[in-house]
Amino acid sequence: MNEPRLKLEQLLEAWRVSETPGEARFSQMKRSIQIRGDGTIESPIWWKEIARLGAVQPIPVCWMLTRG
Amino acid sequence: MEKDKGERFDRTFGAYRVQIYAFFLGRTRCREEALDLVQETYARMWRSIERVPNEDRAERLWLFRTAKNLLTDHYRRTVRKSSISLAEKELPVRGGAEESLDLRCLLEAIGRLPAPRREILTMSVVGQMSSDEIGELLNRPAGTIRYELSKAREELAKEVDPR
Repeated sequence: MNEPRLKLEQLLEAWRVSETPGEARFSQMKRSIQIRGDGTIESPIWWKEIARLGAVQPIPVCWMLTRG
Repeated sequence: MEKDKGERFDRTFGAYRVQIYAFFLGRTRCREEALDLVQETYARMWRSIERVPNEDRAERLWLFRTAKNLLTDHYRRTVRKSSISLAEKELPVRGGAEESLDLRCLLEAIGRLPAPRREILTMSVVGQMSSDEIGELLNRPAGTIRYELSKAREELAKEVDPR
């Protein structure tokens, strides 16, 4: 591979890494979907909001939300 | 039954989340919008998982069809005022200032690519999808996808290292 192409591939890989969300972020998202989907939380809460609240367990979050 | 549902959802979520994210990122050019749309795609799957085909290819096509529908709804609802150009985002600095500068240059060049070419490149690089997979999802021949990727790389190489 010539030099500009090699440099490009390295930069594209750096782009991929910088754009791809981490495992923790996807895990929060999945947990939030399952909480919402089970009807535990009726309001359209987003996984980012759960993360912002700093919740680790879903039950306290439900409690906080239902208390409004 | 619930256990089966959870296991199946875990598997599908793990298998396609980055691909779907890349699909949305290529379209919206905004990481947060793309993540919100990924969440909504999988939320729809979770709610109607009994009706989602339980076979790899059909399941994947169902997810991407849902993703496309959500994107259409998203564009109807929102004006693209909040979209942030890839090049405007704050970049991580890993390899020092020079690498960061090169990466910014790359992002600007990606931003200048024609939209369909940029979308295909994003699915290929960020989503790690093959030309066959991208072609199937976009209803375009795999050869066309390979051509678009080749042209995208050619254009980017010129801009990243204009010697």
